[in-house]
Amino acid sequence: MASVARTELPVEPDEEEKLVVLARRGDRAAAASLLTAHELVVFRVCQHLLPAGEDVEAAVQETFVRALRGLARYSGKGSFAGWITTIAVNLCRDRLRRRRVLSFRPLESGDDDEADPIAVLASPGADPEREVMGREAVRAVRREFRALPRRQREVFALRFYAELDLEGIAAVLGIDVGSVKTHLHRAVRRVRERVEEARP
Amino acid sequence: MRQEHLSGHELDVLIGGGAVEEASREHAASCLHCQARLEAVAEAIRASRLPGPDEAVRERAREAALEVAGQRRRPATPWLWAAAAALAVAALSPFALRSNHSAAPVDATKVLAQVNTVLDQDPVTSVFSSDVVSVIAPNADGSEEGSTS
Repeated sequence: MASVARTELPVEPDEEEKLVVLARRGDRAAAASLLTAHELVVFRVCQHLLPAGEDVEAAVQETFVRALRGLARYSGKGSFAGWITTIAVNLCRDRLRRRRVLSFRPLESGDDDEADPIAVLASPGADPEREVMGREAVRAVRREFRALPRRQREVFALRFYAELDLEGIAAVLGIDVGSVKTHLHRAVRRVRERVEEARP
Repeated sequence: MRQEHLSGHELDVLIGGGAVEEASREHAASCLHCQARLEAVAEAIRASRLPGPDEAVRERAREAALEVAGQRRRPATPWLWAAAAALAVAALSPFALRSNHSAAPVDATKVLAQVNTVLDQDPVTSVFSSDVVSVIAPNADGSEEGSTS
C-alpha cells in the first residue's frame, strides 16, 4: 500500500501536558523537551514551504520563540504538535507575503544528480535506464510541487513531508477533513500525472 | 475478483493514504501492474523530500530559541534564591545592630543621681571652667545663686 505512515507521538499526551505546564512557568528543561519532540516536523514544514532564499534554521528558531512566548495561549484542546505546526505554517505564509514571491525554495540542491534523496532510488547494480527515470520522476514531483496552488501545496507538504494524518492537517490549516481530502486529491493527481509522464 | 485496473482517482486516493472500495483494494493487492504504478509515484514522492537537518543544526535552533524566549535554567534557581537571601540579610543587618544598641538597658536611678549632682552645683560652673565663670560672673559664688530649683 502506498499510504504514508502517521507521525508517531514523540511523547505521551500526559507527559506532554506536564511539560507544557512546566514550560509555562519558565522551566527551560521542559521547554527544551517540548521543542525536541516536535522540531523535525517544524523543520520539514519550513524546509518545504518557505520561499526561495529564506533561512530555514532562522524560521525554525522563530517558530520556537513564538511557541514559547505563546504557551499561555495554548489551550491544550488540540495536540501540541498541531499547534506548533500551525505556527510554522503561518510563519512561512508571513515570509511569503513579506517578500511577495511566488516561486518557492528550489528543492534541488545544486546538481540534482548529487542529491541524496534521488540516489536512494538507485540500488547497486540497478538498471541505469530505470535509475535515470527514477531521478526524472523525482524532479517532476519537485517541479509540480512548486507549481501547486498554495493550499494544495500546504496540504501536500503536511501529508508527505511532515507526515501528518488528514485530521492533523485539518487542525493545522483550520479546515475540515473533507477539504483536506479534496486539496490532497487534486495535488496528488497533478503529481502522479507528471511522474507517470517521466516514468512511462 | 475485479479484473479492470485501478482508475486514476483510486490511485490518487491510495497514494494519499485514503480508503477505496474493498474490491479495488483486493485488486490492488494482487495486480502487479497497479502495484507498480502506485509504488512508482509513492517512491518518487518519498525521494523528493529534503533530508532533515542534522542534530547540531536542530540543537542550535532550539537553544537559540530558548535563550531568546527567556526560559530559565532550572539548576540556576537555587543559587538565585541563595544570593537573594544573602543580599536581604546583608541589607537588614545594620538596622538590626542599631536596634539592639538602642535597646540596651538604662539605669534610671543612676542617671537621675547624676542630674541631681549637676543641679546641686552652680549650673554655670558645672558647664564652664572657673576662669570663664570668673569673667562672665565675677560675683558668683555657690551660696548666692544656690540652685535653680
